[in-house]
Amino acid sequence: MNCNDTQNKLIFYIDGELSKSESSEIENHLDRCNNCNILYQKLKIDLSILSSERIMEIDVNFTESVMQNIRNIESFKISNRQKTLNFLMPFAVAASIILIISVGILFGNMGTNKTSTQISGSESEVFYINDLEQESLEFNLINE
Amino acid sequence: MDESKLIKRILEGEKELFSELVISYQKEVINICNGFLHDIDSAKDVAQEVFIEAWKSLSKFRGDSKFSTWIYRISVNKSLNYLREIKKKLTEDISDNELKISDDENSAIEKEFEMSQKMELIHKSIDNLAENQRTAFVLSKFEEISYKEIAETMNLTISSVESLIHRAKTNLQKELSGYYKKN
Repeated sequence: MNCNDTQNKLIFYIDGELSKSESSEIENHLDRCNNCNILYQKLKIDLSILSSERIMEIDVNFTESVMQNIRNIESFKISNRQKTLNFLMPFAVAASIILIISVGILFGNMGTNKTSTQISGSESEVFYINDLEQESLEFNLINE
Repeated sequence: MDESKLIKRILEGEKELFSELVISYQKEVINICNGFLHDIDSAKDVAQEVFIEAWKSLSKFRGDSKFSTWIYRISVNKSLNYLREIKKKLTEDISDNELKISDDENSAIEKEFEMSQKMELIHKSIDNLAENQRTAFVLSKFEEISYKEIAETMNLTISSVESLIHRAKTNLQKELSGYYKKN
């Protein structure tokens, strides 16, 4: 394996992704070639930095901070809902009053209509009696 | 407790149980965010946003995929959005202060030369990868997530993920080797 091939495969060698035969070819080359060996050492150190940056432990404060944010969002939602309710309450009360008054007027009108129906019913009754051509009481008294 | 039962109970009103999901996934989420942002404090801030987003959208989680895949996807999206916002802000600042920046350009270049610290070098190399290569690389390197789960997270086939990671590593090696040879 020449320098170019070795250098192109160094990162995969460091990550242990090469076959056994390829790995041993690279190892042989690194034993012989000082330039490639220096490159390999530098690359290995730099890539190990990435692993050292990883956090490995759970942070309780982080969890608490997330939960506190969520509680704030939820209480903000509730307070917004309360504000909306407070804003709408006078309108709701006014609408209820108007509704009650309207219903009252409607029922009142229905009662009035019923009385006038009764009156017209007795008129037609009188008319019916007259239709039978019965003479009225006044007429009989005059004739006597 | 079984994860799907846990989610069901949270949705039914036992909100405090959400902390169990935070405990289970905080390490993975922070590490993924840090893989993109290279700054643990910013990573923790973005991870907070990830969990809050997960909380808000939990009712939309249908359980078709694993919860882990779902939250990894949110982590990737939030991190990339954060980086885009930072980039946009930097661009705006540059156009607003064009003269000032051009004055500072020399010192910035000097600073870049001073950036011999290995951490900055490798971070820069990762940042230079194409977005999909970077995403696949970060998921595999920072949280050692399986190729199968990376494929589900990125909506790709496993072979595409393998190819992306291979290309990411090749490019990363080229970038680093180039730097070593120059210096």
